[in-house]
Amino acid sequence: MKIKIKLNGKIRTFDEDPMTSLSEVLKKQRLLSIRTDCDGSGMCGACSVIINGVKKHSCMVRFGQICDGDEIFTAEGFAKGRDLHPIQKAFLDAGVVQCGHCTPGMMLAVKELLDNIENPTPEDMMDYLSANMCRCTGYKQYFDVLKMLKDQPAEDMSSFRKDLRIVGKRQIKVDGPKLVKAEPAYVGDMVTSDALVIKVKKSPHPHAFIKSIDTSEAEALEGVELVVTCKNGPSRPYNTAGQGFPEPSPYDFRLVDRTMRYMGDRVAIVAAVDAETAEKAIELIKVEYELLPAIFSPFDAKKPGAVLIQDRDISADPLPIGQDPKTNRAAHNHGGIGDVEKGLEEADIIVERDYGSSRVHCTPMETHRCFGYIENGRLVLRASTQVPWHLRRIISNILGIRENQIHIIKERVGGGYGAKQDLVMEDIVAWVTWHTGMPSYYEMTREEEFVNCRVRHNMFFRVRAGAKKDGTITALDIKEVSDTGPYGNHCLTVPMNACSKSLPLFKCPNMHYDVSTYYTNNIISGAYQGYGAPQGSYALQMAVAELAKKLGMDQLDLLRKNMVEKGYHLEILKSLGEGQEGIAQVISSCGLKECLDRGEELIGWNEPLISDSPYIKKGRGAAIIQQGSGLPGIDSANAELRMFGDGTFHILMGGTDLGTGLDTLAVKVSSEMLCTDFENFSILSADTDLTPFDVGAYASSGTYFSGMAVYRAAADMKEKVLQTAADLMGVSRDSVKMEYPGRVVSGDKSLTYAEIAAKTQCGNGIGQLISKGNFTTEEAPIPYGAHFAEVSVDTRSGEITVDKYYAIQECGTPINPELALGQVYGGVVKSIGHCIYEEMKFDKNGKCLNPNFADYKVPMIRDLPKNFKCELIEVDEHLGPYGGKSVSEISTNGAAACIGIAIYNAIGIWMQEWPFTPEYIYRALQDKTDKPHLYDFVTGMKS
Amino acid sequence: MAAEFFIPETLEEAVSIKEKTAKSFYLGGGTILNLWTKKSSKNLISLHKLPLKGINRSNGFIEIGSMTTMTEMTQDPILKDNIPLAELLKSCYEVSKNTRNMATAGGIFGSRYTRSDFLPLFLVMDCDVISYTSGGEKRESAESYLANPPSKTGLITRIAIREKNEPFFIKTDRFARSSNDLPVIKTAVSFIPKGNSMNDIKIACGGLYDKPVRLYELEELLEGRDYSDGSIPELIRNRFAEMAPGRSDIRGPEDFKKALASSMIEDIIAGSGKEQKA
Repeated sequence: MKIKIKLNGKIRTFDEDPMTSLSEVLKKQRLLSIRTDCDGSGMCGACSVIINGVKKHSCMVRFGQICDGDEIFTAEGFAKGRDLHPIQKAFLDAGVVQCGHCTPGMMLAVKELLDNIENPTPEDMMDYLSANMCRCTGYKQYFDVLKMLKDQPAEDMSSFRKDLRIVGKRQIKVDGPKLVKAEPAYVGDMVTSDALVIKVKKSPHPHAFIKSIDTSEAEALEGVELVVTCKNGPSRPYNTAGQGFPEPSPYDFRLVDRTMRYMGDRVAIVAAVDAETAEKAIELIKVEYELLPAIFSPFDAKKPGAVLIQDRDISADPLPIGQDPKTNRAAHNHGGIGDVEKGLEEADIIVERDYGSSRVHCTPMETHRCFGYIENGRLVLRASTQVPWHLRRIISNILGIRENQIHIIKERVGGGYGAKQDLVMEDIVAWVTWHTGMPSYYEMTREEEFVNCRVRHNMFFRVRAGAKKDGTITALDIKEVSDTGPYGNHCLTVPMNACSKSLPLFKCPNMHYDVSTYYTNNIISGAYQGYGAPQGSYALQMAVAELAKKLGMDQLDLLRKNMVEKGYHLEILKSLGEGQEGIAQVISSCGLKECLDRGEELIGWNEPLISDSPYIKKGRGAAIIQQGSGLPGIDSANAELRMFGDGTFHILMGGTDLGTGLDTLAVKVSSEMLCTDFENFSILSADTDLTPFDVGAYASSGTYFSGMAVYRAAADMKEKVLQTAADLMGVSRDSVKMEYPGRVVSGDKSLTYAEIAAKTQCGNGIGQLISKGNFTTEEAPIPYGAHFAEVSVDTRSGEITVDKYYAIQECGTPINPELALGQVYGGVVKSIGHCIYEEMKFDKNGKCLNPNFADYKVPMIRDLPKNFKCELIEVDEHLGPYGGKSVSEISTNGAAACIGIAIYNAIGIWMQEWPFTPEYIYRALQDKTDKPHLYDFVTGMKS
Repeated sequence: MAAEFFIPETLEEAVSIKEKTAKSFYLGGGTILNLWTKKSSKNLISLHKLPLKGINRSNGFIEIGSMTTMTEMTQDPILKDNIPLAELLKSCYEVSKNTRNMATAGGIFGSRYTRSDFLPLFLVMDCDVISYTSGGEKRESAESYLANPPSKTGLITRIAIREKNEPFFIKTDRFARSSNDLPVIKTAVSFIPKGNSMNDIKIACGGLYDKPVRLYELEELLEGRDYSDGSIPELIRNRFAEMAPGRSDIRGPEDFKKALASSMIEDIIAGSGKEQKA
């Protein structure tokens, strides 16, 4: 069908199959703003276009529905030349461009709004943005976009660190302009047309052995380049977790194995000239399976005689982590301080209760994708990853080649949240490219993202907590069983984190934990924002709230009496290491009191709750939370700075910005240190050839570790500039000082950076000024926060509404305050979704029943609580760069506990399993008997 | 054989193509059809060039052209001024903006979806579906249209809703897991208030069974009753308990859905008293 349309104001002729979706037609034209993030189900809004003034999902419009003369506007139509459109600028000023994958669709929503309503209200904003999903920001700052477009004041960010020039102030993020202009940024934007397309044949059985596999017809199909199965794939085992080396995870995974361990496991990999051929080849592969018994509960997995899921030799595992494949145990650890039994004996009141959580998905907007090719005989992988160096190391092991034969380029990441801490499919692309010598590309569908990536562990706890009548907590004990699925990536560290980010909140002399993780035939668990802390926090905070109830104390009074403060020695952290002994810490800063005070005030903790219906019951709850700032003694980071010929600087940072603003942080820290403008810095990060080593973006390490490496590199550059300037001016080092904007002065003498650069880089100079910074440490600042919720519960149906939510977060110095606040909003909104409706569901064979956004719901802008506010509280911190510590990850840790406690205060039932869906609450209301013990931790039976 | 995409320019042409082409479907806004035909080979007959847009008054009815989008409905002055149709507009605003911009009045009926935001509402209005077939124009009640299998219905051209000249109460309620979810349960209630009594009461529910249904037995129980009668909640709950089992699926078990539907209807009726007084 041949038609002429006006595309972004210019007449274009298109000749396409009318059946083709408009999104595919536009993507062929390299309109990179068109992103199909939901398998074309019209659920995410990332492919939005405006057709004749009306915004639509281009994935749900057939080309045949477009008429001659239609006008189509995409986000590419905003900017004229290099100038930004006011909407683009407002998005950047407001801080709503985080990973940026949803940004083009969001900008079109605002354009449609402003084109139709002259003076839009916040309600109009919510309506017009209702079709667009954003997983990073929590939507709240989109209301600032509207204010900024109307020249009204947005949220005040000017109060932080008034002594500093740029750190702690609003600043357009360094990668922002290219993201709002939809310039090439993500892996998918880099793929060449000659790349092979990769598809994977999946196991239809949860547990089976491949008796035979015949690929002859598939291999004979024209256009098929490579078929990889257990017969011709590598046999060496590895682990997919991108974490410290040696990894505290077992080597129990192979590229393609003969045993299928979950429904969706890899049967065969096909690389072909196009997707259609690859899919046809997949169908031609014949497999004969021997079905094996399957296990879907860790409690069943630990029963004597249970079928073994990973019957393997553990000698190749990097670390002893308590693994025992003969009992399906992937990992085990226990430890603590004091004597819990003695502490319980001393207690006047004891709470003992079980808690459980189910699987939720990270759902980054950009699914996993990787593009590989050979350059100068070396393997190049362009990946959407949080861990480029771990990726290089693991790929080196799989391919059996040296690390210097591999180059990993981390592109902009369209949302990570932990999902991209693992090799999920990069190993496949590496193998195909290395063995064919041809470029290859694998882009996961949304369904694959749900089924074949990594999900939050479901965990089961028994908590024992004891306190004296005066509220002094005397004992805390956590027994935990986790489900790692069929492979053990993060099988020790995520479950351990459930304890190491919950127990150290309390000044209790007797604490103990016992963590066991089991293999099952469920889908693969892994890292997700919070990394076990949300589950552990929920269990422990619920138990402490119950203690308060039994003691007749206000929950906040009990928390205040027992929570840690600055200077407290956290001996418990010595035993809570990551596969090795941990390091006890002294709390360097702690704003828990300020957070609790502010949250109490905002929610009106002591004000009466009024319901206008006899069926609607209301309640409030609170939770204190913590996270970490990287892993002291394990993590390391590096950075370099180079002075350019005009006195500007280039930063080379190993740290991985996954949309959170780490690159911007690096520039701000350098700009502050070197007394020159933000615009005088460029940055390249997370490229294994060009930038120095960094462990990657996980464990909340970015601000502290990568930030400190940059801080030290900038300090080193500062010293070099000062010394060089002193030498050039012929004065002593002590007499020179650096001044804004970008010069060194000594009395009445001065040199600009441009002059210093010219003199050092000329033929008789000392050479280009290059500085380096490395950061390792044995101490790390801990961020703290407090969350408060008020809920309404309909006692007839279990319907629950979060009426109010306040998240108060202390973060030392918020270096990028608007981005930090947006990440707190984002984490909170995600976790409210996790509490009320996000839940992966499976049938009795382990098949995922809702691997799409139509059935797995995530919060949209209209789902925000009516009264919703997050605040950053600045505290004095000396360890991090300009007082910075981590801020984002922690924000997912509070919702389950404070909402769960609020539900109890509304209806008098302790919510022992998470999520608190209306149907779960309905069931609980039907069956009011209190069952503190849900699980049998001894014999492995679920009651 | 590859699927074909037809773009008829007249109603006659559209109906003729449909009759001659196996596995063919009329394509309106595409929010549902484009979703479930994406991976299958189905012939599509796009209706975008047919004169099926617009909203008019005709013989005591408001007629909505089947290709009128929900956004166009919300912008039309006829619907805005019309009290019974305020609930229709409210339902339009309950779906996301992109969907509202694309989904059409005809598609609402064509999909026959039980979790529709609209069908329960149409079931409690005096609403007819007007179709075009090779035998000419056919007019039938919404309920009758939904009762027939798709093969026996023609190309929907208009939805006709009777205007009300007497006091009339109509209200809907929905429960969805999130704001861009189709409703798990959608209920609709209408009646003619005479004093405090509910007359000619109609109640419909979507999501509970395979298609949206009128709840006749419940209507019988409540017909003529005083909406402030304190026994109504119990009557409704008991009636739901006696109903045939509904659908249990990943959105919840059937007894939970009944509890949802029951509480929604209770609240609508309880709220109707306040609304009448207001």
